[in-house]
Amino acid sequence: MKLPRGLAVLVLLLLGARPVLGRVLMTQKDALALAFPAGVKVDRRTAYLDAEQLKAAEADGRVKIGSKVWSYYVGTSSAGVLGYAYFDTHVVRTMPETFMAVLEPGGAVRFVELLSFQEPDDYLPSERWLKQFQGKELKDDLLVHRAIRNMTGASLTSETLSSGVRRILAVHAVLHPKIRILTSR
Amino acid sequence: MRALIALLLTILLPLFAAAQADLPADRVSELERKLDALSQEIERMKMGEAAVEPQAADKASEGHAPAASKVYRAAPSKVSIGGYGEMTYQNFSKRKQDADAAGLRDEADFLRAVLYTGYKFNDWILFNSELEFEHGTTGNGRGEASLEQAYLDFRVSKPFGVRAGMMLVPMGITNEIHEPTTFHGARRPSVEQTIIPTTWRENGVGVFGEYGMLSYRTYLMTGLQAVTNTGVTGFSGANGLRSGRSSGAKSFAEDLAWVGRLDVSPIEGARAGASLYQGQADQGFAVHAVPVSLWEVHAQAEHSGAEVKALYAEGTIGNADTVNSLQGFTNAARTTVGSRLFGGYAEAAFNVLSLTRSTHYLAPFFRYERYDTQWRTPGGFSKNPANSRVEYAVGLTYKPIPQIAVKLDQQWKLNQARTGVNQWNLGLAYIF
Repeated sequence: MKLPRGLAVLVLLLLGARPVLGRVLMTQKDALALAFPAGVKVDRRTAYLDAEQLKAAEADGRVKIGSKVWSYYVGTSSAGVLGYAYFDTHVVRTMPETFMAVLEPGGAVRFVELLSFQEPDDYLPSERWLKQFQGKELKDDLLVHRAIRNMTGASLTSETLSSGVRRILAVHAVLHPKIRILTSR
Repeated sequence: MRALIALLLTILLPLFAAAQADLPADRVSELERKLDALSQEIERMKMGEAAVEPQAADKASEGHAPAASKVYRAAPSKVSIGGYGEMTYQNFSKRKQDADAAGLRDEADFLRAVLYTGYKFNDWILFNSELEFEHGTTGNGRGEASLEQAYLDFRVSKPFGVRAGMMLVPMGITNEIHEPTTFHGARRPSVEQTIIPTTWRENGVGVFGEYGMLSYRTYLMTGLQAVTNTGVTGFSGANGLRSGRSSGAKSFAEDLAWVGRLDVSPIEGARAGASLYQGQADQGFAVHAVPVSLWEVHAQAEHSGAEVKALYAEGTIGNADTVNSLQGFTNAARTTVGSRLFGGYAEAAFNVLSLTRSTHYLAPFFRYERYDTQWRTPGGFSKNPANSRVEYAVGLTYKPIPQIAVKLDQQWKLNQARTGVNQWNLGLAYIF
């Protein structure tokens, strides 16, 4: 029996299928390598928020902070601090996603990178959507349908990721009061 | 996990403080090391799989080639559950446009309760489904339970995937994305119910993908059913194609249809696209073929709290006179199926709370719709002016959180026969 040419092409494509969207897109180690180039000294720090800091962060970020224990990474060179990397894991619909936000020394977002995403890939944020956060600070209106545009068909991802970035910026600000003064409104 | 973290902190932090005061330096150092190890453990627990080193990606296992064996290395498969629902209250005017009695009863309806279930078999094959209960119960003959989607995706690459099963027809703005928190007003736009018969789903197979700012879907699906048979009512003058949907339930497959859609999103938050549906709808019940063609163009954009969207659709039904005769529609009754139909709408909204620091959403909106299911009628059949319709809607959408919407709107429904009945609506919607 001879397969029609179109069907044969389809079968070949399926046979050659490779996973394009795994649930773990990047490990924490790879993410940190992306955040800080080789040669940069990276220190892991853990902050324990007190009740007052937690309250202030929730007010600044307009979001539930959740945990009082925050681990983050600081990249330094002889010139001083080069940036900060924070990780946040939250539930999108019923499954979690983890992302990293890399912050400039001044507190603005340098970039946001997704590490894992367990929901169906229909709701996966695109690189272009994530780029919206670049250069944004806590004082910017990082809410969906405002400074952040909605992802059509993936509203819950848009909402939870925007909340996650606000959470990181708010925690960072209370840990660095000078930055809080400059970046909060 | 939060309880565990709280417990650890409650025990360790006072110890650490005491240690700093009373213990020798080596003990303090030891406690610091333990605290650091615990904080690392907490971080790993929070991050889950992303914190774990993956196995070598190119290592074959189970006697399979590396790509084929990935399924054996995958973490346990995951089920994803979601859902949405909406309840509406419709209050009808007592009078029609021409002041005659409207004769409609006000209605409170739990319109939809829907459960999504998804299952990720491996990195590139997934199942997604939507099970819907409409109007509360099937017990008194008023409601129904339906499968709205149930399909398998084979994602070969980002620009190319294969999809098969019961799928939503990829036309318009609302048919594929119909969760009630995504549209304004308690009721979906009438054009996307009457001209594009949302929620329109059929059994079929097709391909989909995206490349840069472009995305596409094109499917081969079961066609519509123009005439009444086995539970399907068929086309009508007032509702166009709507009652010709067989909803994937023992759908006759004598006639198939092709549908294709292309969207472009040049900037985040803005999207425009078009789709075309071509198929036959006689399903073996008519001597002559009943070709159906429907096309539409759509656009939507948002910026800083402002939202706009618009859609225009047009369709043709070939041999509509044959359909009318098989359906028993006579010219005198003016219920005849039109040979051409059209409709369009434009909508604007603005989230006034975007001017404040509030995270709530409160958007007044305005929508204008114009549609006609008998734009043209076949020779020898005259149209019913009641099917040439204009609608205006003004309302408010309030969302205390993005997943909950409370809606209030007033609809003015006008037609050329002056039999339109205005109504105001309340809606309550959720998605999770």
